Order: sequence, then structure tokens, then C-alpha cells
Amino acid sequence: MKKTILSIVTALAAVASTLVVLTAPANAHGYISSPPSRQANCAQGRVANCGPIVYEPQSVEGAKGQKNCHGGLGQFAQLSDESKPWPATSVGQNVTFNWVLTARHSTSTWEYFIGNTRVAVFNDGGRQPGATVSHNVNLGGFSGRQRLLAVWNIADTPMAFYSCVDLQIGGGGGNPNPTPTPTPTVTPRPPSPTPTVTPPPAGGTWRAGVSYATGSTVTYGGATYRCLQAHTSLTGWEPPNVPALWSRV
Amino acid sequence: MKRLAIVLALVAGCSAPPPPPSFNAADVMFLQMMIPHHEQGIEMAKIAERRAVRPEVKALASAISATQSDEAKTMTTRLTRWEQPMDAAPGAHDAHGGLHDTRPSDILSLNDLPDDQFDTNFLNLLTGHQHNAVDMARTEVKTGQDTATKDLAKRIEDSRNAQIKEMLRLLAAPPR
Repeated sequence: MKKTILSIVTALAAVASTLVVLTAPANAHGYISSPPSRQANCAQGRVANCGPIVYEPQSVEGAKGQKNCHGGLGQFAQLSDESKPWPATSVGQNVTFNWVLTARHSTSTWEYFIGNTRVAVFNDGGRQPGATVSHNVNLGGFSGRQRLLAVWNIADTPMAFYSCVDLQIGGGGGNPNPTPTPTPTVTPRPPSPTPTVTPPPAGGTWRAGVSYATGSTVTYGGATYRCLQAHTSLTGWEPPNVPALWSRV
Repeated sequence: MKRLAIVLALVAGCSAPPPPPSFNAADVMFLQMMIPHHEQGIEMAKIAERRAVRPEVKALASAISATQSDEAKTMTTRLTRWEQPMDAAPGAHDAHGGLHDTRPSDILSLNDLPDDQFDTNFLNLLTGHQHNAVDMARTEVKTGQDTATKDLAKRIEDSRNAQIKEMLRLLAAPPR
């Protein structure tokens, strides 16, 4: 009898949680990873105080036809904040834009704008894209610091995904169209983040972001661990959690 | 007496704490979905261990393949111990429409890339894959019941977010 009641309760709980799982929104889509878009710079931690976009750079989804960096979404408004110190990537006239996709929506077009000029469009005719997408774009003679807006237009919904990329466009030499920008503000490229190649502190306390060599030792939670495989440490890879990387001495 | 307590709990309504089966359907589905997802990640990472051009990409791939193999073992053992099937009922994940799956052909196509395109493609593919792992892990943290599985999900969420950060850094800083 007890067993019966228990299993009924368990079954009910199971049904309830299945419903929760199945109705969870599929909130995943895509963004430009390189040259880094604003949301990529936020997710990477290169630009601070970006708000919730750091956890979901793939989710800048808004109605089609917009010309802003945040898809009109209030929670991602920081992406359109021009007072933030967005790093600009130095590029030439031809740039390959690489997308991270987390869902392959069938696609009408991919559009690239600088100001009101559409510098490139790629028509997929409603096809599903591949697992990754790259486009080579000619920037049409623009130069200096520019904010490029990329738009991924979905074929079977009224929605699009937005990514802004800050560029420092170098002289391509002999461009037919001189720059329409007023004063090319030469923003020095911010120093690229220092690659984390700190020598492993012998017997020091484990930290994230350190490049540990095989055989080096650390302490964590009062215990000593030896590194089994060279790697750069990450949050979530604390020694007791990853026996593949660390063995307790 | 025990029976009385359970009946009372039922009568008390929805706010009563559920009796203690240690796991629920969300835990099971998380493990069923995460194991094959891990295996795909391992497969990608193993190709990169062999093919990546930049040493730091290679080292990251090796560490991902090693840590995910351990996690996959833990998850498989748990499902077996719970006497649950390794696969969900057919169609259980249809809400996702297959949009979020990395296809076997995508992984295999990594093999055909020329060297100068390998690292960028691998990093973009794995970044998308790990974003989806973060989504699944967050769902488990919110809806799961088994403490050990929720803890694992939280570590997966944290370490995948850290990996995504690292991969975006590698993508933004091309080799000189």
C-alpha cells in the first residue's frame, strides 16, 4: 500500500517535471564570434557590465527590419550603448565573418550594413544553414572606425538575429569609393587580453585561468593534487571535480 | 505510522514536500540527453587533438575530451543504477525540433577541412555545442531533484561557460 502511494506520487512528480522540461523555450540561435561582435566581447569578459547578454550571446532575436545592435530587447540595451568602450578589430577591406549557431533556423538572408549602406547580402533561399557559417564581405570602401550591423533573417518566422561588430578598417589602397565617414577617429586597438600563461606556482593554491604543466602540484580545499595533463584551468575544473586532470597526492 | 505521515502529506496539498524518491523525470531526461551530447563533444575534441594547428587549441581539446569522458561515465553509471533506459522514449525531445543537434555529418566534416580553416571551424562548432549544453544544464538545475545530478549540472554550466569564454578569446586573437 505504502509502495502504491509512493509510486503514484512519484509518477505524478515525473509527469509534472516532464511537462516543465518539454515546454522549456528553445532559446538558442546565433551570433558572430569573429571578428568579435559586441555580444562576443561581453561573453568573453572583454567588455564589462554588459548585463544578462554575457550568458546568452546567441539570443539577440527581434522583429525583422531593425537597425540596432540589441534587436529592440530592453534586457540587451547595453549592446547599443555607444558610450561603452567597445574594442574595434583592425581589418582590411575584405573580412570573413564567422557565426556560432546553436539552432539552425531555415534562413532567408544574411545582411551586413554599415550605417544605412547594405554592404553585403547572402540569400539562402529558405535553406537550413550548416553547423557553422562564414561569409566573406567586401566593406565597399568604408574606412576608419565603423560599426557593422549583421542581420540573420529567419525564413519561417518574422524574426531576425542581430550582431554588431566594431571594426577599424585600414586603408585597402586605391579604393574607388572614398570614405563617407566624416573624421576617421583613429581608436587605438585595445591591448588584446594577456594569454593566461602564468607559470604554475609550485605547490600554490589552485586558481582558474592558469596554464598548468603535467606534473605540477597545487593545493585545493586543504588537499594536494598533481596535474595529469597540461591544460589551462577553468571555473568548474577544480581539482576534485576533474579526476581526468588532477590526481590527489 | 509512516503511511499515515504520507497520507497526511498528500492531504496537506501541493505545498507538502514530496516523498523521497531521489530522482525525478527531469533528472532522467537530463542524463539521457547529456550523455550523447557529451559523446559528440568528445568526438569533436578528439578530431581537434589530432588536427588543431594552434597548440593552445589542441591542449583545450585534450582537456575537454578527458573531462567529458569522465562525466559521461558518471552519468551512464547513474542511469544504470537508477534502472532507467539510456534513451528517452522516441519523440520525447521533439519540442527541440532537432534544430539544436549537432549532426554526425557536421563532426565528420571537420576531418575534411584544410589546416588553415580547421581551428576557426572547430572553435565555432564546439562553442555552439557548449551553449546548448549550458541550456540543458540550466534546465536540470531548475527542474531536477537528485542533488548529485544537479551539482553535476551546475559544474557543467560553469565549466562550459568558462570554455566558451576561452574559445571566444582564441577566436578573437588569431595567431600571428
